[in-house]
Amino acid sequence: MTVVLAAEGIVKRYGHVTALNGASFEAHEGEVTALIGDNGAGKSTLVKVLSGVVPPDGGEIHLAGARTDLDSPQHAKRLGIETVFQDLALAPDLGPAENMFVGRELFKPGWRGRLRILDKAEMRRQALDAFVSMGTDVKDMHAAVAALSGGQKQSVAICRSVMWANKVLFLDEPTAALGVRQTRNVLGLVRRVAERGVSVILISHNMTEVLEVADRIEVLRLGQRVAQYRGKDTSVEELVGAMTGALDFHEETRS
Amino acid sequence: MPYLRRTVLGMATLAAIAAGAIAVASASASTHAQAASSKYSVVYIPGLTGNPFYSTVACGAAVEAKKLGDVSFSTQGAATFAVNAQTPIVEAVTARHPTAIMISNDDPTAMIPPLLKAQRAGIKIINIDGDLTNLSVGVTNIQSDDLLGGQEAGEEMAELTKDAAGTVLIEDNSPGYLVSEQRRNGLIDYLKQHDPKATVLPIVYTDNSVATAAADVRAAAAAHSNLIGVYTVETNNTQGALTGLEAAHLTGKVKLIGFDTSSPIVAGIRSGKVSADIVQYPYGEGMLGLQDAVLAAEGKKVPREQHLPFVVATQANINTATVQKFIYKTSCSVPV
Amino acid sequence: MSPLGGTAPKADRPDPAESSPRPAQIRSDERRQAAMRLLNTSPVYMFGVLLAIFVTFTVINASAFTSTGNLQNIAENAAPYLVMAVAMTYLMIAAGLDLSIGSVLVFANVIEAKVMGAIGGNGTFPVLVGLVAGIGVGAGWGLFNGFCVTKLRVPPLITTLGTLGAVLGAADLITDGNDIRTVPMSLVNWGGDSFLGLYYIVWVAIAVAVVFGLILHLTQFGRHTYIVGSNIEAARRAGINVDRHMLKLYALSGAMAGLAGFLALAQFASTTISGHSTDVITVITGVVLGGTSLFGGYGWMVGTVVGILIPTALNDGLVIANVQPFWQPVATGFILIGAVYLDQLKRRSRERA
Repeated sequence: MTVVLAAEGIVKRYGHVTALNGASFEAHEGEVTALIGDNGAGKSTLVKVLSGVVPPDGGEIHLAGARTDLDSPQHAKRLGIETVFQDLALAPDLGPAENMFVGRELFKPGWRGRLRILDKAEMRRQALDAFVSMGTDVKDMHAAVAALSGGQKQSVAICRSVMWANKVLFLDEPTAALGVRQTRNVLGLVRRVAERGVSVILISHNMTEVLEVADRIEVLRLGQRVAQYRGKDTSVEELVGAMTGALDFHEETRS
Repeated sequence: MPYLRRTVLGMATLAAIAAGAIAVASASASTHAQAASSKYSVVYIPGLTGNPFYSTVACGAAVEAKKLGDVSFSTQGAATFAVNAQTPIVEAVTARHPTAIMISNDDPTAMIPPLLKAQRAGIKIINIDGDLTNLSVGVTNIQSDDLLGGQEAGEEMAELTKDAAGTVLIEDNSPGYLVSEQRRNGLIDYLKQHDPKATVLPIVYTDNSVATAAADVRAAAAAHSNLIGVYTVETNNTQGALTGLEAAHLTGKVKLIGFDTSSPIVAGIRSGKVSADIVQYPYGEGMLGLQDAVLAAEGKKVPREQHLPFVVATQANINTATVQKFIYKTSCSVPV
Repeated sequence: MSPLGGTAPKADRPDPAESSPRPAQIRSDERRQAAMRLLNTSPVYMFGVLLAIFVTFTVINASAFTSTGNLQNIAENAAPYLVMAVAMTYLMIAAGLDLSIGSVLVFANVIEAKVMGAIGGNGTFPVLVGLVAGIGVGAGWGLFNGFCVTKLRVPPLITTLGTLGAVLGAADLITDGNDIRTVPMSLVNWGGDSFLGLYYIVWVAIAVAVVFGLILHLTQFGRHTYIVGSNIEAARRAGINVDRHMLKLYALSGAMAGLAGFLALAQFASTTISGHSTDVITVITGVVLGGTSLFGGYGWMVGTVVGILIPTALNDGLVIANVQPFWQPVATGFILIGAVYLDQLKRRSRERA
């Protein structure tokens, strides 16, 4: 399996606190990788470093084999890395199609394009195509996103990122606020994204979910990777043990 | 279609509310206007609403209208003393086409265009308390003789300060208005001639604010320990100076000569805190203005400039019938 | 261009090729739904209120209210408010606010008169220079507001409350509180002239509303205004330079106040220093009545046009109906509260649907 994104020895300090203490990570093409760990293990920080939000104080990042420095979230996006944070960053008063193109609006051709006149019909068409092809049912394309359910909002946010991400997609606790059926839909969407060849990295606290959807699981503890597992080869107890340190080992690999 | 029904229902409710509110307010209007079939209709546009001087003008006119019988009278005005507030009122009243408009203009030049339009439409223009700079607009101008009023104030000031060498503070609203300028100059000229020992401080402008007038008096008192008199040329300034002097504990020591009356000022006159007050005759101006409106409508000649008398009210004479006739009324026996 | 690059479809995914030719039935259904959506918006409701107001006053005194002269007056009185409301619409959609527009209007008003007087003469040149100076000075104060809000991070309410006082004070300092009562004849004539039945002043306001309305609803700049107001963090993450955008909106607000000052100068042939302290209330009322949310995220320029006409027509009509002056704000306030209340009810039901 090709390694799309890899990180070695990432260090990140905030004042006296060392959030990441030589953490490593890797994600493979077309796979769902779950990043798990107890509170304070450094998951969010690692995601922020790998998506260009904060620069690391030490360590290296490799994207598609090449050494890369991520200067900003915009730079990461240009390289094909997208992130959906827990707040979803959707504009609640705008519709799903408008949200899909935030900051990347399409213009009409010709002189109207130079005046930055929007091609709303085209944006709506492409957005609808995106939703349909990802199997997402957006009931009303004209309603404000605020009127959608939590699961639909999550799906819109994911579809938006998928529309532009061609390499890596980070999802921070995508099902944390969702009910059973909506969780099912979102996890299905996550799998379909991976099947497109995008490497999906999922932060989650829900072990059952993780076992269900992840191909690989990386465990973070106290700012370092302590274990990697294949999803089908492990169990909830083992994962919890690795997270809390009940199972004592260093970098034991079982890929 | 529930959607459509709700939309129509919503709009209908809104329309009902709008119509209802206007109807209720109009009903109040028609109870005070005479029967719709009056021979003449006169509208008074004050400098601003809620001012005792202008309200008394309206009262004088309203009572006179009721006495004459076939004249309907009403008042329309804006809450601020500003040309851009008064102009839309003049324009809207012009659309109603009354027989005559009595007006206390907010600016003698800038108010010419809408009043000229009204005059061209056949409406008689009666100026109350200040003429326009274009004398061809308006049938007449009825006001007090402000220069004379200022001189009376000067006489009072000289007598009260008894030739003391001290400073006198003058408070005005805004520069550039002939009416108040004459009131000031009347006093200044009189003092120059008859009491040269008194020094008049630079004029203080309070922009029609009672609070500013009070604050400015206190500031002047603090800056000049030899302050012997304060002269205010209009209602709000008089009220403000009254409270200002009281706050500075200078009532009585510093003589206050005021202009116009209101409830607090009348109380001040009674208690002697206001040493003397120049009281105009707005009731008379309103009465005369309405009479002139009817005369003009009937094609009769009206004098172009008319000055009405005033009284100097003091603690000694405030309760006499003569002076009481002049005091501005806050309410009227007839709806205005 | 398909947005999704990547691998072949799975068996259970619907085939996009099948979704294209839609039956005529569905197309007409969609058109009806679009029409329903349009009818259910605030501007349409408020237009209903405006219509009700017009009808009521026409019934009370048709010859006075609907006379050409009176309708022209309503439009002329509304014009400077509309110009400022256009900019306020942008600002409020972006969850900003500018309380200082009345003072900036006065300041620009004064600068324009002084510049025209300094150049002298009665021709067009001093008027044009004065206009440019007024808009420039207004935009300058707007940039100052924007700087305080975006760089110094002082909340808009506080910033513009401060400039409301400071700018008016500055105008008073320049003039000693004295209105300037001489302006070039060309400006006076222009102010009184009309074209196709509307004053030039009104045409300026219409042009401003149309141009900026199109920008708001059709261009990227407009779309970004909505995004910033709806979720400022989402705008930032999407790469929109939020600070620069807000700076432009505050500058626009000041510039429009400068233009409104010019229109006032043309209308009254005199500065009106003490007459604009409540303008901002009328402007915000008009924008809110038109359906723009105080909290940002949505609004319509058409709504603003309708919204500004409501208090203007009301004030005119109440005088014509001879309603007692003290009753007028009661009637106006009642209608305003009632209209916005019903609009809120409708909005909440729309969100639930």
